[in-house]
Amino acid sequence: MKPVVDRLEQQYKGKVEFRLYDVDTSDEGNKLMSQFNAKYVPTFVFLNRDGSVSAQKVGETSEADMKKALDALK
Amino acid sequence: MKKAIPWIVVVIVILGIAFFAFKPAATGTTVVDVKGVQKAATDGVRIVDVRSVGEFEGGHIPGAQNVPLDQLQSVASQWDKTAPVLVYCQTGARSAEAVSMLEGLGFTKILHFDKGIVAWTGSLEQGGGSSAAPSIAAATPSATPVMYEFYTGW
Repeated sequence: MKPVVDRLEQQYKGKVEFRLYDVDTSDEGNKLMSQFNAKYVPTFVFLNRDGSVSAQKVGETSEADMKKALDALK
Repeated sequence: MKKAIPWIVVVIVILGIAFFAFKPAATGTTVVDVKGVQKAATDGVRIVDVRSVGEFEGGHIPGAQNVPLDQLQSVASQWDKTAPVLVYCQTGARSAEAVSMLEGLGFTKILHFDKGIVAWTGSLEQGGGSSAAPSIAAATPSATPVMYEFYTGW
């Protein structure tokens, strides 16, 4: 997923903030993960400006699906 | 007998002048007292209580938002960094850490009630632990949408 995420991060620079957590090494990542009730990796959580969760995707996700979720963010 | 000033001295003096003339601007942190907090509240400044949820619920400055210190980094990174933020804790130790954290995140207008709530003479509000979980998800209206990815070893 890394190349896809890297590419999307460049494409959405300034529009969407990407926060990537390696849950093997990041305590903060683990905390956030449990707060979002995410149990598997990779998990992607898409948050609107108002803080509401717009979408959550688990497992390998296609670039097209990722873009759809990113474009839907308000 | 005339002695030439060694070049090294000239260089040191020039560097010294340059250092004072071009030193980075001081951080935007201001220490405030009770009156400062009251003014900030009136001005609509975001007031952040960095103590635990339990401490916050036991009594806090009216209008304050609870973001425990261990979650401040991730929560505050979603805030407008040009808007003023006031932080406090019980006695000033945790809020001092919070100030460093906010400075590191690039906040430019930080108000620090460094005496902590023990020095607060105004009324207290109880309960309403805004708590970390919702606050992580609760971005300010001006924040950018966020995508989180949780992964392990690529």
